[in-house]
Amino acid sequence: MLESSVDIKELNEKIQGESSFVDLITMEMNKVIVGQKQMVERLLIGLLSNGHILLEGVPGLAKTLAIKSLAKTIDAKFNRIQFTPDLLPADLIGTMIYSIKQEEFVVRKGPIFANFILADEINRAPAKVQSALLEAMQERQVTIGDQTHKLIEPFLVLATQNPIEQEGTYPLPEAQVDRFMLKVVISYPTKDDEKLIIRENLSEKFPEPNTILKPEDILRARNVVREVYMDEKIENYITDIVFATRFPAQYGLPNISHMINFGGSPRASINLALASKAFAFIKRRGYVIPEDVRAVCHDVLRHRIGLTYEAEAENITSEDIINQVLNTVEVP
Amino acid sequence: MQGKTQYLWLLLFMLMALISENASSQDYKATMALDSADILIGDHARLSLKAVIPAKSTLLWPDFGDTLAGQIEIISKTKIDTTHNTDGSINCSQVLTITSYDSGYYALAPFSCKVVPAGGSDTMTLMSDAILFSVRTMAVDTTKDFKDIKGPLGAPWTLREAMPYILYTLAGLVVIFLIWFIWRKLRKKEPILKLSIKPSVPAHVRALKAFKALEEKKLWQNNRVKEYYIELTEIVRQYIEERFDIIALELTSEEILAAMRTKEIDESLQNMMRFVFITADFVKFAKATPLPDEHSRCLTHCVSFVNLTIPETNVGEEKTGN
Repeated sequence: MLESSVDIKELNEKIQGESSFVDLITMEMNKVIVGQKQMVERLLIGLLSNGHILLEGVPGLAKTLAIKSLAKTIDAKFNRIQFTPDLLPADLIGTMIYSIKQEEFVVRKGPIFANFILADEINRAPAKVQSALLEAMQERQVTIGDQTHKLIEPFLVLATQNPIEQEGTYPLPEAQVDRFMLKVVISYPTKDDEKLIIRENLSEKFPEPNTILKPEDILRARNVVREVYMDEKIENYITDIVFATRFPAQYGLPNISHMINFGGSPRASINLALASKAFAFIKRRGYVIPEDVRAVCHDVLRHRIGLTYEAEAENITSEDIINQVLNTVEVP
Repeated sequence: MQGKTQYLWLLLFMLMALISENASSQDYKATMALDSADILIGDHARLSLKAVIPAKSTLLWPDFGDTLAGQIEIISKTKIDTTHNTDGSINCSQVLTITSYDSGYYALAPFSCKVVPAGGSDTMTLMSDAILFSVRTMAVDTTKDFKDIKGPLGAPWTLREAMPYILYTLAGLVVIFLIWFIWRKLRKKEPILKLSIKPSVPAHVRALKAFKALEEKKLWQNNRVKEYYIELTEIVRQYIEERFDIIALELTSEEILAAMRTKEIDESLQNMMRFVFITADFVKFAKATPLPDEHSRCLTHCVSFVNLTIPETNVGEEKTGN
């Protein structure tokens, strides 16, 4: 029907082929995780666009199981770190210990040396440990003693935050939260899903995902994701959305100006573009459409918009702000 | 001999101390001067205050209230003016305009300010000399007759003062005119106001006109395919927004189609719009170039969609377009 330009046509075909594993991973994950389709999709976006994810949800929503299963499907190393108030940076990245046998100090690498890290309850550890993790996330390398060690690729950090308990926690500063590509809010499963969860957990054998990919496949897929075509109109749409969070009055939203302390950073625009490309890849498309941007917009922006006290007093959340922005900014 | 030498050293030391004291006191100076030390009661006099301090010293200038001494009032104060001398010292000055409404002789207390020398922590106080200030009353010639006190002088009227009266008069005239106007209309049994309401153009008329204009632009025929589809979808989205109350301009193609499913729109029409939106999305976001017949088919679909979704109250109107 359509005589698409050659490069897009070729790219589409290439992506059709390269993204075929997405369905396989999803199927394997669905064996273990019931419902939570959005979380699984967001995990894949983070994995494919080389970004880290901050998960917010009450305990018992299969956060650990999801990342553990993802690690298993990819034949990757998985480590879970429970953040506590007495955790030290050395407990995370590793330290130098004296080896009596070798009569010298040797490096003992910490749990951060894995493909998938689950930083459980990240806001329970003090700022220095959070900084150590976030620095490693950004630089993808850690320095122990006088040696710098590269972290293994793919490297995906999935940090969790409990939204209920605030006592004895160290909330992540805005600058550090900004380093997470996505902040995914997980809700409870549906009634039917929950029945299925009960059945699966009470059955004799809990399903196990199969290993279907190698880490190299993910690295190759990441390069293809960057090739996904993004038209200038989509770029304009992304910048309009991010600018509307910074200067709402210029986009016909003067009523929310006093509710926003600070809007999305340029990193927000970059991540929105990257996440949209990854979403298009997951949907097995070689080009980005406005649906892709809107699908990931909440997850990319919700932790990047600072609200004023007035907004908090009026029970306005960043979700409301994003909804208003999306309902006002014209779709190309 | 030794006693003489000791005396000589002592003399030298005292001389040096005197010189250094002199030099230091020359660096710091506070002065106060009046332009007229004798004024008529209620007249103004300018009191100039000045302090000279070495460079990098800190000067704490006193804050004067509204009176100097009990009977001397400060009418105005200039800002503290700071100038640098060629030798590096700093001049600070301020001029106070003073007056008194009570005759007599007043001694203006010395003007004093505090200085923190550069690098030092001790504060020193600079003081000027005191000045005598006399305020006299009018001279009375007792040999002549006493005259009555003159009454207050009338000030000339300003426009500002007259403005309220002008406005009241105008408002009164307007009210009288309105009463007369209404009375006349009522007597003639005519409506008081005739509002001419411009009939709004229905959404379908506007959309069909826009399709016609788009066709005449011959955009796709001139290889401006992307522009053609942008305008085409813009028109149809605008129409959907006005006709079906769907915020189509802020929704994606899929969202518009989903919203259309909730309205009473024939499925075949929905499929037509699906074809248009999908084709347009391919062109807009995936560099696709549809075949020439697809360009005109999209336009035909849009025109048909508009024609077949005209509200029943407007069906009688003439349908235009392709």
